[in-house]
Amino acid sequence: MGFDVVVVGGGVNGLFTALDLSLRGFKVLLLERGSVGSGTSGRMHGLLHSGARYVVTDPRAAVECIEENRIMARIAPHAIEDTGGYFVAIDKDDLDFQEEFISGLRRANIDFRIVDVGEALREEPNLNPEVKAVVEVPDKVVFARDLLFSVAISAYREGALIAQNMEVVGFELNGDKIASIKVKDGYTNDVRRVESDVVVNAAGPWAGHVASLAGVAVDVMPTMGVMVVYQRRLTKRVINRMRKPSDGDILVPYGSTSIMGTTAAIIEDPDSVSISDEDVEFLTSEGSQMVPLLAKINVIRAYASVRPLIKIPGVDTREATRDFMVIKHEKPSNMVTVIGGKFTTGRLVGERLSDEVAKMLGSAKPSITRDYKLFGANLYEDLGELDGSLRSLALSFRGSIDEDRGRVAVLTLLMGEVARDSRRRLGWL
Amino acid sequence: MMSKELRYSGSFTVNKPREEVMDLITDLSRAVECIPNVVNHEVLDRNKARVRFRVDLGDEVPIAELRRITTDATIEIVSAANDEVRYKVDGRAAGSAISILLMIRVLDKGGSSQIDWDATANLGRLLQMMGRFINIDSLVKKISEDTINGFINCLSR
Repeated sequence: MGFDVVVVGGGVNGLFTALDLSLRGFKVLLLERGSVGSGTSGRMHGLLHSGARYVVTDPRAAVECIEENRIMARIAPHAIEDTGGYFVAIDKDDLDFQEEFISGLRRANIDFRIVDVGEALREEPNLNPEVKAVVEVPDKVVFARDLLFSVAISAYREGALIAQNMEVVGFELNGDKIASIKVKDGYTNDVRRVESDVVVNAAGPWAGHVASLAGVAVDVMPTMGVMVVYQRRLTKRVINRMRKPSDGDILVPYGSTSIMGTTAAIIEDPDSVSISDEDVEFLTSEGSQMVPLLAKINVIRAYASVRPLIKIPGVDTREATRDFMVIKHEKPSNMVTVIGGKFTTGRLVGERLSDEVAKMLGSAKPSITRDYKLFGANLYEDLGELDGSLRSLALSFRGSIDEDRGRVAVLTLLMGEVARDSRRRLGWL
Repeated sequence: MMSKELRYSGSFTVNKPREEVMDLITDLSRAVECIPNVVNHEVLDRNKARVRFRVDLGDEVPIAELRRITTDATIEIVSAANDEVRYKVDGRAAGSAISILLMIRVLDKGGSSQIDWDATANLGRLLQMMGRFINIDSLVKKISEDTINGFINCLSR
């Protein structure tokens, strides 16, 4: 079976690429080694960045974040909670950073408001009473799986096939091009072959491995970030430490819980991460400086996401400091790799990747994902043609006590259906 | 890959008598206050303290959270003779072990003091791997120099 484009990786970058390219009329297959969102994207911290965090150190990333923050709220309102965010100065160093921070917010055109400390404490009574300054920014919370499944289902509805448990294990080259992709079917252990004009490598921490299968020399070092989940939601807003981005400086209210992030540690294997008691203690200690009650409530769990440091020949080191890079390889000449990116900028990554792919395929069709309302925004109206039992089960959440919590359950149900139907249409049953 | 040893040394003069310098550098509770980028510390006993630093790895690191990392370490005075103090620093940075031996020798120069220092840093294997992406040698050198400058500032007050 042949495709215009095969996208490798079912995280936020790969999914938005599959959607973008499908909307441009290309025949797209997405291959995910595990389940959609089972890698880094499904283990993010829940923050839809306003960009404020990066205004001093990465102003370009800050501008991209605020634009994508607004777009995401428009196209996926069901997956976003518009909480707002506070940046709080706890000590003198934080306070010294305030002026530079506010200048950066102005330059990046990010709406902000200097909040009277008394007002902030009334609004967020669990905030450290010793807080010295507070700045409000338009941070939001994004529900990861709700968004990822919505993008996947949207891409499928626009014609893409989304295949889960399909691991790319090799490429067959013909001259300087990939002629076919070897895929190990995780259900049957069969190795299957897929032909595609272009291959998009959006495998996140595994992008180096995938590129190496195509003979591209890459130098990868995975890094791990730990997040700790606490039993209670302690704030209405996202709480950030007012300082240059560091470890242990973001507290996100996620549903009924609070998530504190993140650490930064070098690891050897992205498939092998371990979280220590020290990680949990560190995040609790840092977080409790912003919200003291954090030290007194139960930790429910901790989880980790993996991001790579990657070096690819021909890529300027300074360029590597940007949020993400789209790399068109010389050989194989029909492969494009994306490195980096934040969950917040996943749609933009998809647009840029798709621009590159469209150019390679001779198309001038522009991206329309910035104005494309994702499946799930009107979930129950959009359920469409599901078999009777699935549809009635999904619809049973509507108007019930569990309508809100049921959304992700319904999306999971649909995601399973999308994956099953994709396999069927691929003839891989 | 074996752990890598980095060595740095230097010398400077302060306008303080040797005894005053020795008093400061053998009193951990005062000496720790002189180290830049200390977030907080706890003196465990006369010769031992637990310290949390925030280390700036530089904006060339492609992941924001890895540009400024927090390091927990134990600082111990392992020996203090008449004119020489040896510190041992053991900790973890970015998930990797780090160990530093710092020797400071104070020579009397008639009312002022000449201070010779020598630092040997052992970086864990994982931290060394980061050397492919950032210049670890210049980073450790900068941290050593910043620390010594912190002592100089304290002694100059």
